[in-house]
Amino acid sequence: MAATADPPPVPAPRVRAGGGPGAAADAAHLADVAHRAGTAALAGADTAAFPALVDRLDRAVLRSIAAVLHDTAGRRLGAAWTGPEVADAIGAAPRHRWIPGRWLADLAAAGLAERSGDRYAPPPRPRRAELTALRAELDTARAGLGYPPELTRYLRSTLSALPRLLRDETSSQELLFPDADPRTAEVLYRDNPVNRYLNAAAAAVVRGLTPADPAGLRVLELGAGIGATTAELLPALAGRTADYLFTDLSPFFLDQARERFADHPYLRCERLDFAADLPPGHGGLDLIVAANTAHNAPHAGRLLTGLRRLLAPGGTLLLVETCREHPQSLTSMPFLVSANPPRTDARAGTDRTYLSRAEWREAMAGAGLRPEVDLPPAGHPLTALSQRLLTARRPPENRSRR
Amino acid sequence: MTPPTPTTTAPDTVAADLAAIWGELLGLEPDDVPTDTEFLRLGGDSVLSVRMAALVRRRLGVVLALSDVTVEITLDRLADLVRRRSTAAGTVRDLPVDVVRRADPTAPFPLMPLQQGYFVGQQGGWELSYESAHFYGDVGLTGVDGDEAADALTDAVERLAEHQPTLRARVTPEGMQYVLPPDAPGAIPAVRVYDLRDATEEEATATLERVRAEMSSTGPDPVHGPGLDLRLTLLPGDRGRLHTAMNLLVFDGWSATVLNRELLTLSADWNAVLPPLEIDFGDYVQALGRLTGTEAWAADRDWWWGRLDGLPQPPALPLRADPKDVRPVLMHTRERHLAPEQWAALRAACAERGVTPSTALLTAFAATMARWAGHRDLLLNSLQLNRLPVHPDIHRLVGAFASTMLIPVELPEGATFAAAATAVQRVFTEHAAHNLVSGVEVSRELARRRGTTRPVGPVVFQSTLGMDAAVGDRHPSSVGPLGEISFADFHHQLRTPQVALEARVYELNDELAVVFSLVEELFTPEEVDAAFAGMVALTEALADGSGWDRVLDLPAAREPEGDGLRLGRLDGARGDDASGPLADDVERRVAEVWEDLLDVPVLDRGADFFRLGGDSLVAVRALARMTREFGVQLGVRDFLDLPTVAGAAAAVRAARAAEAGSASR
Repeated sequence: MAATADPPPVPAPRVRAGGGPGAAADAAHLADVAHRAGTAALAGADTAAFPALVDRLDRAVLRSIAAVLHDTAGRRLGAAWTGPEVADAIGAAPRHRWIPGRWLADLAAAGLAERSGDRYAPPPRPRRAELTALRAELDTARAGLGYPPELTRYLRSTLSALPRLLRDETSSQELLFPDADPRTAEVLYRDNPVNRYLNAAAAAVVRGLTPADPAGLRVLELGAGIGATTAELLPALAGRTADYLFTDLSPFFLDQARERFADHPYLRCERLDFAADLPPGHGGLDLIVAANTAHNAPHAGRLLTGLRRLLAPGGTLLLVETCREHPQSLTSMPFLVSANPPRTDARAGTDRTYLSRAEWREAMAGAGLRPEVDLPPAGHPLTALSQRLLTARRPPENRSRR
Repeated sequence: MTPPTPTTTAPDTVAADLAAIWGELLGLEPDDVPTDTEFLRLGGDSVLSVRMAALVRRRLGVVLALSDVTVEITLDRLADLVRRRSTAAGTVRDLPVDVVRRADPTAPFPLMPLQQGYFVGQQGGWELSYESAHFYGDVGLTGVDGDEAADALTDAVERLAEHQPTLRARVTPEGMQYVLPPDAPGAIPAVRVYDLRDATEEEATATLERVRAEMSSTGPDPVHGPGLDLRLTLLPGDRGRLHTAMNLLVFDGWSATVLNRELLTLSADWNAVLPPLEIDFGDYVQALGRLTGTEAWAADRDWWWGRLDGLPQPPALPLRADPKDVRPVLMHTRERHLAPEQWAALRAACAERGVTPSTALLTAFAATMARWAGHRDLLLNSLQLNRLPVHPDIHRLVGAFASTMLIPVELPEGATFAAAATAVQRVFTEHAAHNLVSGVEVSRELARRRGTTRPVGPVVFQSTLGMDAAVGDRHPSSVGPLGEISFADFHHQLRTPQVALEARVYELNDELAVVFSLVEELFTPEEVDAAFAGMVALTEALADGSGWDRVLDLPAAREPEGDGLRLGRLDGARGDDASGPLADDVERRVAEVWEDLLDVPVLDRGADFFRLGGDSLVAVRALARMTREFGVQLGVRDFLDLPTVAGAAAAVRAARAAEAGSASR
């Protein structure tokens, strides 16, 4: 997307520095502006059906997982399975041995398997004709949710690879970036209604920022990956940004970003493992962006505390986060969780990937950040996808404007 | 189409990138690839070199000229070349065309030259023609899930037809082709199932024979339906057979391999996802169409045209019948397999002597034909499955890419086999470097110059050695509900027009298969047996090493001699004694039809259709037009016997007389 000098299609947010009674009203106004920008980006997509479609997609993926387990291990198992039995029948690598148990629990939770003790009676082995119908169901739900066909292709390739993933013979990253092509990831993080909504809302928030330093805005992005969010924010930052530090754990993405954003001279790329370390310095940043990545920190609260230190007073933290784990990500996310160091926050001792919305707001407050935008609004059909835009501000210091 | 993103080609990474590509193709560690050894000696061959060129294009963004990518190249020389190419962009003499996606993937597009040949061959009436040109094969299955197999196969075909548009290809009666959209009625080939799980052994055998006979003699015809006929027999004891018939008008041999692989992959796994294809066969044909008229194309044409008059005759094999008098239904087969150890030894021996296994077998075939025909200079035809490397996806596409190439083989007198093979390889490489003009077009011009309507290259050599490696992954042997495939239990049958005898060499199950497919009605069976045994013996002697340094036993004569009925020495001359102005209204109307189709003035009643620029495809159209014009049915043979205006007019009059006669009865 090219930078544009055109005025935004929605009123510019008015952002006042300062706390006090006006701050809450400002936050509400900002959320309203961001929501309207997000809604405009939906371009009339029919979201009313989304909650039902999300459910259909989740169930289709769960039933597909059960079918793959039947195909791969069913003959070696009895009528009721335990997680470790399934793992051993497939020859799972030790670090992934927990995953089949998670699948069975989710199948039971969805009413697709019957649980008694640690055993699960799976749904009956589907006939090929039923599988063909199941594949169509998956694709119908995908299309209804406005995702391009690449999502179906990706989900099917992960389903097909489940046994190899369990055995550590292939990796989720390899499936997400076949031939190093970022197209599939773009589909997941950008080219779909919910991400269009979130990215446009994020851009609206960014448009209202005032630099702490007259030289221009200073921005840090964590886990920037394929730069899907970066690309949406840059137009909103054009002309008033002094420094945009694009970071990721993997040099793979940094190379791609250098090429992709070559015409933004203020954008620098550096390798950063924020789960281990944050950059030195404090107090200079107007904006920190972390899209679909902050949950990778072992302790969310500690990450936010560290980020607060990097923000200038009045600076904004912008998170895009999934706040509930859907079965549709069960063919990829658990394998990434296996690679993670243990969680030490609210997720400690569980196999949860994500924090809930309430947990994030709590962690923000605990780190001395004031939650502002929290979208989509309650009751909106987009909430069914559980992806949210959460922003928070470091409160300005009393009477000392820099 | 998105152009391949060139990675940085700093000089020091070029060598490493190329070593990685070679390592991948040759199964070596990149560090173990010697930089001064020829691709061929490391186990590479010409088909694999096409894949190499495609990978170089994709990974390094450098397009190599066809003549660059020979099997003799070393890693060092290739690296030099790539560096020069990447710095001096624009000075490259590579393929001067780019493939682009056509706006409408269902729009009709012309037939490729070899497709035209098959199309014409299907019209009936031509010499050595059949109702359909196709390849039939069936393979044994064990451990079949009889309740699921048919559904799995049907599901696989539907998904494959979506992935590979050629499965939905049709050919119009006028000789154009197009692809049906996936949801068009009948677009997707249907699977026919014979459930013999409860049948007796006799019933099962009888049905198998019936299915084989039917599928071998009545191939799928893309003029009337899908070009693929797929059937499944379910047998007692969880056994089965998978039958496939593919029309050569839409599928070439390379495509058959790709198609089988993908079909089995999709049957095995209901979730299997094939990497998407950026282009289709029609895009390729369109791109090649733009090649015509370019400087590179004209240079290749001039190269061939300049050699035509010096080409030798096809092997003058003794015949027991004139090809124009036989009506073959099936081609007959001779087949022998060399064990994996023998085949490995043969490959090693070839690498040691710097010839490809394909060249060695071509030389052995040429020697066999020379002995049988009684002369040493031979014009052989060959089927070429190589695709021009215009896009990285090209080797994964299903379509009728194949072409032919004429190879003049002049076996030296008193030479060892090794020396003869080296000479053959030189000739082959030189001719293959001029493949922008297809052998079908060259053959047409040769027929025109020789003034014959007979096939000019009826003896064919086809090698697919190395193709498996070039296509990529191996066949899955375990196919889900279809059970396990036993490639040792494989039955096949080829029917290809305009061919008297075709030698095929291919790999199956790590064995080397040597096959003759021939029109048995033409030859004395004992002579065929003897020739085939000779070829096999020579091949075995090459594998055990004893055949290379022996002087080849060859006839002294270079040109065909001897009398009697012999291949290539048949009366095919067109009568042109009727020269003069157009004599009557019928001749004037014939001339008008020809002028319209050939776009040249037709003023002489002795003017020959083919010398005026007509070819067999236009001839089919001309016959259709004349049939409509005069309201009588004209046969191809009547036309070919005397393809002049006077001859055609005489055929019209004769047909009218015949119809009047039958009407009055």
